[in-house]
Amino acid sequence: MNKATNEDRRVWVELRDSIFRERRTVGLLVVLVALAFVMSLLNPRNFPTIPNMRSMMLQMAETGIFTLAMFVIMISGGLNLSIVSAANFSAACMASVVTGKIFTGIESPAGKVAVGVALAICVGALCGSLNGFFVSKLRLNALLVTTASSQLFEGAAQLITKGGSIVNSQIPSITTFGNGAVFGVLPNAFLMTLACYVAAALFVNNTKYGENSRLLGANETATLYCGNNNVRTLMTAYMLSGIFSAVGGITVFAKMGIVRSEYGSSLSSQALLTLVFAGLMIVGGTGKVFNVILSLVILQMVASGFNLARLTAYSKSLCWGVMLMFIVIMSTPQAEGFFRVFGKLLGSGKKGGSDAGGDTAGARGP
Amino acid sequence: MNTQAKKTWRLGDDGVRVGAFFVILGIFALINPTVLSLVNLFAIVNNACFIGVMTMGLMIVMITGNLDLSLASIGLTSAFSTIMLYQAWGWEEGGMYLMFVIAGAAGAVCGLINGFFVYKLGIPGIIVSLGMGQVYNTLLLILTGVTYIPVLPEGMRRLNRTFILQVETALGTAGICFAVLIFAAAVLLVWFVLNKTMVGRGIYALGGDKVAAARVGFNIPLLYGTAYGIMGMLAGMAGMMFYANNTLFQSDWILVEQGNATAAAIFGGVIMKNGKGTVGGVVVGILLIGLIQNNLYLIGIPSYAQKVVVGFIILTSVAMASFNQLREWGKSR
Repeated sequence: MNKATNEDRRVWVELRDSIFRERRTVGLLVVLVALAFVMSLLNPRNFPTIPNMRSMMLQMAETGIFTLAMFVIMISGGLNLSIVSAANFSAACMASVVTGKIFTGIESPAGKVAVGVALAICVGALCGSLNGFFVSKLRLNALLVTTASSQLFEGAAQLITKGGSIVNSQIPSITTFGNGAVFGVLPNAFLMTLACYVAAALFVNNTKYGENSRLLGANETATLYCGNNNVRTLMTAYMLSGIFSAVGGITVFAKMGIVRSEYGSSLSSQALLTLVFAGLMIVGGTGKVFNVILSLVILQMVASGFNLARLTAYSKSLCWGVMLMFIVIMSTPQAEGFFRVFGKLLGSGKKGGSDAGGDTAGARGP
Repeated sequence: MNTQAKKTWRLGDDGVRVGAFFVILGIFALINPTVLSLVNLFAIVNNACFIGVMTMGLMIVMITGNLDLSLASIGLTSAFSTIMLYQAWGWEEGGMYLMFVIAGAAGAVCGLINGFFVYKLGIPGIIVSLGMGQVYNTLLLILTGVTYIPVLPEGMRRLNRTFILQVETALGTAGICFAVLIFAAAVLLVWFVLNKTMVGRGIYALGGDKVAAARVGFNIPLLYGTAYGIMGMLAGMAGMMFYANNTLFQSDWILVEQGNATAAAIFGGVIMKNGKGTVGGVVVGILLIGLIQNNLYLIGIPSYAQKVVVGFIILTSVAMASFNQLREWGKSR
């Protein structure tokens, strides 16, 4: 065996190992490409077109921002079921400024929008910190707290909208902006969501907070013994989640031009599905922003494909439910045996066995 | 040893919950005395039945430490399959009791499916219920292509006209509906299982620590099977009760009730940690939710303000439960 083949072999092994390590990303990419191909083949007239891409991006802007709001909580090992109601609450606050119900002193539309956005984000942060206070200071189960607080936020939104809806007829430029697009291709809302993703990725990957929240999700007891300030980490996480929810609410309001308190009740389970699909487990400690974006695109493709094929909303939610169950089952330790057989078939016997939480370990990233 | 003697008044005890209920009832009665009339009190109980049966099922699963968000979906699918069976058999009259048996059985199957995933694959209950909830919501509707049934069979519609007790008062006839019996049976069943059987002790132990419960020698699959089976059965019966009271089937009406059931369980003091929660507390929670839902308009609060009141009360009660917990932790350190 000469030196060159040795070198080749080493490169090959490294490549194989890195593919194995990042197999969640690789898998998602493969699914993405395959799905794009299949969908284009099934709907050659409608799917691979600019208008369809645009409408997909517009819808992703909304689901994406809620997914992000769930993401920051989920890496620290919690769940936030109140994102949608917090979003509706903040959007209702913004809408009442814009339609001149409160802060009537402001005359100019630009001033109204600025105050409305600021108020919405403040309300979102407040909602988040309320959750954060209950979870971190009073040390209550996050599920319980957010279920309870979602009732409160939804009620508050209902109180503001008086059980109906607030329609923005005063400042039409908001709706124009929400549905507008740069160069007619990239929707503004999508760019906004993308910016949020970039900010979140930078924040989660490069700051001490991100590190702490991952550690908290991986092992709470260990972080306590390390002397980490878990209260601060959780408060930051829930505040961020609240702020992202508010941005989601603003996006919906800008797009639809209307606020309803019961809007989008399925969005939080959709966000959860996206994250589980991206390889985050509910126990926390893992999470890669890039995977989240990939799985977001995949799910949106499925949804758009179903729409284009003129299937009902029922079949879409059935498909999502089945997919969620399938992905979760595949991620359990019990599916390890399956992965081991699969790994042997591929000839990568190196790590196949020790891969109990394989997907979570793979998604941990560098 | 002398814990009995040392027992002090604590926030979050069931006694406090009962007190809170009567204080709120008192405030309501001060504003509008009609609240205390027999007609209204019976109406509160009648309307609490549906949420009550559902909450009883949810409670037993929450004690094991799993939240389930698919109860309304289970109710939907069980009620739908029962209605379809009745229509297929051509039953118009009768079958008022049988519908609970069929719906309960269908619900129990759904519940056991959830329990299987939770036990066998170790998936958190909330994820299972989100995924399977979507399936229960839609599968039968897609298969049959029916989402709306304008008139249910007469036997089902008879439920809200069947009274077990009727009293003539100045304000009209006050009656207690047959559904109250189902609610009472559900409360008795859950109370019996949790307090009088070894399985019940096991369910509390499971909520405290799963590994410890297994080491002590509890049969873990039996515990999950019982908890999820009872949950599914009660959810199915509650769903049937809901649609029979509405006298028509509209697929997604029931789904908003999931939040109320969760709220009642949380106010009842089920905190999903260390296996806490009592049947008595949850019954008070159910009655409180019923009281608020039915009577806010009687004291002049518009219906759109109802949810914020419910949310506020629940969040407060969660906080109260936590003070207890923190104090216990403080003592043990």
